[in-house]
Amino acid sequence: MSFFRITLHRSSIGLPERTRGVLNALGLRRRGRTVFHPVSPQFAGMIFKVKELVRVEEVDKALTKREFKASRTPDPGFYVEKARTRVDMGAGRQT
Amino acid sequence: MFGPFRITNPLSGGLLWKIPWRLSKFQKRRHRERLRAVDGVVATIDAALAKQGQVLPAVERWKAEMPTEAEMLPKDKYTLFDRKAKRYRKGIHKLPKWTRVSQRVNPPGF
Amino acid sequence: MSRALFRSSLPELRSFSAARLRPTAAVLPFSWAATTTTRSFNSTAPIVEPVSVNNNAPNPTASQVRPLALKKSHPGAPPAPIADSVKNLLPFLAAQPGHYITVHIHGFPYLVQEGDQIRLPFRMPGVLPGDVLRFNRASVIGSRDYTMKGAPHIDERVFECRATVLGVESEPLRIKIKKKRRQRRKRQAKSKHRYTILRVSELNIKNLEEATE
Repeated sequence: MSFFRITLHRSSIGLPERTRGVLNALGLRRRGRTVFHPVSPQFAGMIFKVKELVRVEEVDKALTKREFKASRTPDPGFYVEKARTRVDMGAGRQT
Repeated sequence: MFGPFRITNPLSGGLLWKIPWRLSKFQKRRHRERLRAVDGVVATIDAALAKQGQVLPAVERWKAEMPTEAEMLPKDKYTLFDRKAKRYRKGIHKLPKWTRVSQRVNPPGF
Repeated sequence: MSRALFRSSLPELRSFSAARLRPTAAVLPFSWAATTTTRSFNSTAPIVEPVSVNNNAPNPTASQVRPLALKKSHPGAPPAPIADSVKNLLPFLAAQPGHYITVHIHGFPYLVQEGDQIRLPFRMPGVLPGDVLRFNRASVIGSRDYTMKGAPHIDERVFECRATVLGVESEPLRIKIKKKRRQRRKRQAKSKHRYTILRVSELNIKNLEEATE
């Protein structure tokens, strides 16, 4: 099962209503948005309608929203090796 | 000839929009890249469907009728047919939304 | 608790006795050799000293190793071998006296030396002054004559860089006057950003026996 990874690269401002409707149906509501759809003639036809506006790749796996975010987030690059002793806020005092 | 009321283009003709009549070399380059990007999208769709053994008639028709960027003549890349223009050609940047629509073929013989 | 589970699932910790895992130990012996270079945030579990329990009953099993850690079905990934070029050339870099390093914090590079102070352009959540941070993403380590570049990052077993959280600085209060047209009403939008200050307390280039252990 492979997927199309579709990113809206060009805005649909000023384009016909049909074109904007196709983008909405694909779930591309703003520029830079990336969606995943299974490879099928239905989705291929929709992509073909807006081929001038999108960038398409074929991928094996559709990323969830969280995975997609994680793939774009850089590594923090650090971890707390030794934390100072934390005192409970419930105890009423803080060091 | 000189002075505040000299005859200049905006004064004599009324409205003057300074749209260059041809594309700059940078515009042409970006235009070629856009054409190639569209070719890439079509190729991706076609390859993905071919793996599943399916065929999309619209893609087949596009492949049959539309030249790719490499196959196009410079004349067709940067100009398009216009029956009112001198020598029946005008710059492709006169086409509305020309960066977001595909305009690749022109009437034969022009 | 899942952090504790994960931490104890690392294979080298498995060889330690459970007594060394007791939570009062200030610094746990920790080797990151088991983790791969594409480690996500979750796997760099911070070691937080346990909160001094004063109103809750102590957990009687807190010092025991979790059962998942002993499962053979969840072994850690084997450490990737260090490239020969790094093995051969790292001693030359390590032999020179002063080093600089470009650490990446949340993807942004900071070129620092030991003893440098960094003012991060943000307030780091969840840290207090006195906490020790360990950096594990670096793109460049260099000395006067040698430079080691990562592609894109240097293997974190090669170096050891720590920073201490010094505190939080703040910028002067910024007041932006917001006004709508054709009205005399003005509104003030105030902002005062806080920045975490770090000091690079330690920068060591490890020798290869340490790096390959």
